[in-house]
Amino acid sequence: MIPMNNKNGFSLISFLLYLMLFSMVAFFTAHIITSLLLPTLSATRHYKSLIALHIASDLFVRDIRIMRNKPHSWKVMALHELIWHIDDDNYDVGWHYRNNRLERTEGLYSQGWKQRKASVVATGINQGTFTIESHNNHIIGIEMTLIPAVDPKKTIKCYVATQKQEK
Amino acid sequence: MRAKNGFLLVELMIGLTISIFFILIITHYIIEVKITQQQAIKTIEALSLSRNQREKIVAQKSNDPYE
Repeated sequence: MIPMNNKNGFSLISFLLYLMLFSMVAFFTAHIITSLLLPTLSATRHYKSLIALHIASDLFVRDIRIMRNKPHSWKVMALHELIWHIDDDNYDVGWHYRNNRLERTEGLYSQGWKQRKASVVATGINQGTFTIESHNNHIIGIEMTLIPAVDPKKTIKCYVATQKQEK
Repeated sequence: MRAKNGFLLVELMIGLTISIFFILIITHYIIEVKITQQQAIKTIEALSLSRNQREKIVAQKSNDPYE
């Protein structure tokens, strides 16, 4: 507040005018914060988490595209977990959904991870599933479905072919 | 705004105007960020949809022996 030190005092009119203007500014500020800023900040957090899930799906697609360009074999194909082996470089890559998080693991897998580097790719997920699409016992594609905790209606689906297109 | 004979109303008005101006600028930039994110989400969703379609076509073609 502006100090109103005055040896000769100030008039009641000036004080009331000041009080009225200050109240108006305070009300206006509170109104802007509650009606505009808070919903906008919450929407910003909402969009940020959705963008993060899309980035996670991009990373998944990148991993599958790397896999399909090299000789590979599948080790685990479950609803919440996928692990494959890259034959050339002799390492395993795994993706799994656990405790509302999507994690990527890289290392050596043989009935459990013997050596691994794990990283959390995305958090705030209500449900994460991997659906395998096969044709004549031949895996042709994988669909990763992520249901964001912030907005369960905005399901993020990401489909990727597991065999590269023959030219 | 210390003054022996009180402060001028003009000074008060200028102070209030500047504070309102700052509040509006901050609000404007936060809303601008939200709009940019909204547009980014729309673009990302469209790109994701088109990638899914493309990948489905690749999957079908890699499976089709007559292609």
